[in-house]
Amino acid sequence: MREYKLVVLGSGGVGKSALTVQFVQGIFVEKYDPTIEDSYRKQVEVDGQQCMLEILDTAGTEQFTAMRDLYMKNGQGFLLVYSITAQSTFNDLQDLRDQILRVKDTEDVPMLLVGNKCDLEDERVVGKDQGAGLSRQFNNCGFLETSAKAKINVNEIFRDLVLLINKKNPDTKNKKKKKQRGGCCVL
Amino acid sequence: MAGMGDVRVEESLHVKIAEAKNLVTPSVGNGGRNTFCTVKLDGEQIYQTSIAEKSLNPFYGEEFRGEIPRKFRHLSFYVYEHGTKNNKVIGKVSLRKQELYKYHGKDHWFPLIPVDSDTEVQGKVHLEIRFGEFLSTEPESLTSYRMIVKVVESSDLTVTNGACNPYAVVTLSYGKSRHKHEVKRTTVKKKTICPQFDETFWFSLENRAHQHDRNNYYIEDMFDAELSVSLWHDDTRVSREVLGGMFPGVFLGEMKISLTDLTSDGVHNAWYFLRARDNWKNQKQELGSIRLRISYTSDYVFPSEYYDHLRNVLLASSDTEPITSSAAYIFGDIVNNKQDAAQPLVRLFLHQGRLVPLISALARLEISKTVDPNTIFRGNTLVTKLIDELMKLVGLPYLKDTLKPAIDEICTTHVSCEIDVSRLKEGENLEDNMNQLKHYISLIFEAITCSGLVCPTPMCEVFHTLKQVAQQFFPGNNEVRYQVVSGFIFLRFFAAAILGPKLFDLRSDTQDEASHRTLTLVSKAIQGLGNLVSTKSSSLGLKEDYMVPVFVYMSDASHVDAVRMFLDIISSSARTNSIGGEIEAPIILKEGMMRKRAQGRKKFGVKNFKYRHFRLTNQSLSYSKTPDEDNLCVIPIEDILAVERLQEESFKMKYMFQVVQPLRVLYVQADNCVDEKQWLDILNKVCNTNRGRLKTYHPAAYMNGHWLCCKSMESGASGCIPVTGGLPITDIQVSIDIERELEKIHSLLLNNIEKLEQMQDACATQEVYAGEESLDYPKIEDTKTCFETLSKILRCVISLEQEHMQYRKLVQRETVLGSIDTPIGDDSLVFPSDTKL
Repeated sequence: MREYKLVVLGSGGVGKSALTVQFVQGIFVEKYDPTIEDSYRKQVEVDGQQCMLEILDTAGTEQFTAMRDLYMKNGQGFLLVYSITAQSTFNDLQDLRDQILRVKDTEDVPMLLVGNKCDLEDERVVGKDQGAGLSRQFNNCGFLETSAKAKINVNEIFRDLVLLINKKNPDTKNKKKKKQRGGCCVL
Repeated sequence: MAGMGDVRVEESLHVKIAEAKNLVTPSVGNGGRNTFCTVKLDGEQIYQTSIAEKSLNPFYGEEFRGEIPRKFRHLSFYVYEHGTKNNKVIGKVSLRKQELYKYHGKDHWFPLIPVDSDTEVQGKVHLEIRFGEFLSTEPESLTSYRMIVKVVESSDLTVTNGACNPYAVVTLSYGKSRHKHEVKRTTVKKKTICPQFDETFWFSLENRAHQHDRNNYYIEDMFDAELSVSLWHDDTRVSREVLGGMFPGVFLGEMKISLTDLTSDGVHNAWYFLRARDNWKNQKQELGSIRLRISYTSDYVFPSEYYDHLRNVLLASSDTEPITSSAAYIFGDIVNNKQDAAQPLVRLFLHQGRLVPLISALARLEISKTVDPNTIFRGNTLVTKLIDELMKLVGLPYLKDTLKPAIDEICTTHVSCEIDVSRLKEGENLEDNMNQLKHYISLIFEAITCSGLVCPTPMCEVFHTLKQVAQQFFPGNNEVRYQVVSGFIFLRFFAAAILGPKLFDLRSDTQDEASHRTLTLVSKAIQGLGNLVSTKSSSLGLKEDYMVPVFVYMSDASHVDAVRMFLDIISSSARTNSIGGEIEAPIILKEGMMRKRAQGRKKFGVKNFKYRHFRLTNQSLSYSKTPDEDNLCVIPIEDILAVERLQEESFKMKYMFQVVQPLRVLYVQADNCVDEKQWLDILNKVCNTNRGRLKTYHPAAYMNGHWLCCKSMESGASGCIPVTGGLPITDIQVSIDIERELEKIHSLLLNNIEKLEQMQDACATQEVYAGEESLDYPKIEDTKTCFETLSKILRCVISLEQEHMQYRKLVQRETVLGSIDTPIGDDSLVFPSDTKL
C-alpha cells in the first residue's frame, strides 16, 4: 500500500487539529487545545487505490519553526489552513508557502489552500474570492473552504491532496505490482 | 553632525544551517556518511554543528547567533565528512560580506564548491612600488628605467594543514602575450600568517626592450608589462626533500597589476588583497548543496541625542488614542516580519518602563477583534510577538533555573519513553516506558509549579495585564484568565523550550532522535497540563489514543490545582497597580489559624497576642475572628514589603514571623515549624517581586525604644541585615543598548518608507471620500491622528537618514584606498549593503 505523508500547517487557532480529528475520527473537537505535534494514520481509498495516510498535525505557534523545517523536508503534501474569521491567519500563509518551496527547492509541491470555519459566515472577514485569489497566486494550487464543525469539505481536502501527490509522482511501481497480483488472483 | 568617533558599527549574525542534499563524499562506497558543518569568518571557525548520522541528505536544523567583534570579508560554511581518524572536507559555500544582504532572512540552497588553495585564498600584501631612472655604468648606454618593488609585509594568510611558512614571489611578465617572466623570491618566514618581509627587488625595464630587437623605443612599451606578487606556503618537507625544490608549495594568493595603471612618479605604497589565480576555474563539480538562512545586520549607531525624536514618538504610543494611530502599532503594521519589529520595540519599552501600558493597549485592540475567547492570542500578531520576545529577553535565566536539571536528565540518560505501541522498539516494554515518561513529567511538573516565586517581574506584570484585559472582555468566562497566561507560559515558553532545548539555551548540543522523541512526548504532556486548567469539557480520547493515559494521569485535582495556583501567582496583581479597578475574584492561596500580636498604632501599652483566622489570596493577606466573620484587617499584597522569621528572643516565642508593611510590622506566630515554613514560602512567593520590596530588614522586634537586633533607636531605621533570598537570580536586569535598538527601528522604518507614505495617502483618501470604503487599502480607524503620527515618523526617519548620509560622506572622504583597512583589489565599496534612500 502506498504511504502518503501529509502535513497540516497554519497559524494558531485556525482549526488544524479540528480538521484532522474530524477526518480521522469523525468527531468535532470543541476545545481549542494548542497542539505541539500529533500524528495520525488512516487508511482510505482514493481513486480505487488503498492509501495509508500519515497525517502530521503541527503547532501553529511560530516558536516551533525549527520543527517546521523538518516537517517540510519529510512531508509530501501540505494543507495550508487559515480561518475565514481572522485576517492575520490568511496573511501568514504567504511566508509558509514560500518556506515550503525553499525547503523543497522546487515550485511544484503538492499543496492545498484551506479556508476553515466556513460555518461562521457571520464572522467572516476573509472573502471566498480572496482565498481563490491567493490560490491563483500560489501557482493555481487547489482551494476549498471547509468547516470541521459542520463537516464541510473535510474528506475532500485530504482526498484532493492525495490526488495532487499522485499527479506529481505517479506510482508506477505499485501499479505493476498490482497487475502482477491481479494475475495471481485469476490463477 | 556626527564625527568619525561618534558613530559605532554594530554587526550581528544569525544563521540557520538547515540541511544538505546530494552530498558527494570523498570516501568510496555507497551508503550514508556522517557529516557535520562549520561556520567560518574568514579563516576562523566560529561554530560547528553536531554530527548528522548516516545520510547524504543530512538534516542539521541548527541555529547560531552572535555579535561580530571584528572586520571580516567572507562568511563561509564547510561541510565535512566525519571520520574516526580525521575529518575530510566535502565542500564549502563562501559568501562575500557585501553579498550577504541578498540572502537576508530567507532560506537558500547554495551549491558546494571544492575546497582548494585557490578557493581558500585570504589575506593581503603590502607593497611599495617605485620607478626610477638610473645611469648605467656601461659606456654608451642611455639612462635606463627600473622598477623597485618592496615587499613589505603580508597579513591574514591562509593556514594550510596547521602551518604557514610563507614566502613571496615577485614576477614581472612582459612580451606580446606576457609570456616572458622575470621572477624573484623572498626568503621563507616561519610559522606566521603575518610575515614581515621588507625585501626590495629591482627590475630593469629597459633591457627588455632591447632584447626585443625593437629599433624604436617608446616609453609606453616600457610599461607594457604586468607585475604580480604571489604568496606561497613553503611546505618544507614535501618541497625540498621529496621534490627537490621543484614544487613551489601551497598557493596562498596573489595580486596582479598592470604597470600602465601606475604612474611613473612617486611611490605606490599600498595594501592589496590577495586573490585566486586567473587560470583557476570553478570546476563544475557536483558536490551537493546546503540550505542556509543567513541574517547579517550592521547598524551604524549614533549617539543617544540623535534618536530623541524617534524615541519620543514611539514612547507616546501607549497614550495614543486610538492605539492603531500609535507609532508602535504603525511600525508593527508595516514591517513584514513581526518578530523583527517586536525585538527592538520590546527592548525600548522595557528599558523605559513603558512595556505594560503598550501591551495592555495592544492586547485590548486584539481582543476586541477576537470573537471566540478560545482563539485569544493564538495568532502571530504584534502583541504576541512582543510577549514572545519579552520572555526570551528576560526569561532565559528563569527557564534555565526551572527546567535545566530535568532536561539534562532526559538528554543524558537515554531511557526510552515511547508509549506509542506502533513505534515501540523490540524488547521495549510499554509499562516501563510509561513509568519513565511519568517520572520525567512529574520532574518538570514539580519544577514549573514551584517556580512561580522566581518568575521574572516583567513577565508577571504582562501576564497580569493580559488576564485583566481578557476578563474585561469576557466577564462571564472564568477559564479565560488561565488560558491567556497558559497560552504564553506553557505553549510559547515551557513546551517550546522542552521541544527545542538548544534554541532556548538549555542545552548546547543537538539531541539525537531518541532523546528528541522523549522531549516531544514530555512537551506534549506539559502542554497538556497547560490545557487542562481551562478545560470545560474534556477532549480526552479525541486526539492521539496513546497519549490518553498520560493526560488521565495528569488531570487529577492535585495537578490541576497546582497549575492553577502557579498561573495565579505569576499573574498576581500584587506587582502592578491594577488598571480600572479590581475585576478579578480573589483566589485563596492559603488559610489557617495563627496567633498575632496586636498592631496598635500606639507606641506604648500592652500589645497582646490573639488567635485569628488568616487568609492569603492573590490580592491580600487578611484576618478575622473566625472564617465566616468579616475581616478585621486587610493588607494588600503590594503593601507586603518583606516576610521574614523573627528571632525567638523578641517575644520569647517560637515560630514567629513578621510581615513588614510600609508603616508597621505584623508579628504572627504559626502553629509549628512546618506551618511556619509554608506561610513564609507562600507569602514570599506572592510578594517577592513587589515594587517596594525591602532589601534589608530587622531580624528582631522594635521594643522599648530600640531595635533589639541592631540597637538602633530610630523606629524607622532601615533594616540591619539583607532579606533572605533577595531578588531571585532569575530576575536579573538585562542590559539593553537602547541606541542600537532605536537604530534598528529607524532602519526598518526607512526600508518601509514607501509603505509609510502609502498609508499617509490612504489617510488622506479616506478623509476625502468619507464613508466609501477604499478597496486597495484597509480601513484606517482614525485618519487624523494616524496621519499626524505618520508625519512625525517620517520627519524623524528623514532627518536621521540625512545624518547617516553625511556620515557616509565623511567616512568616504576619510577612507584611503590602499590603506591597511581598505586594500586595493576588492570591488566592494565602503558601504556595500547600504541601499538606503
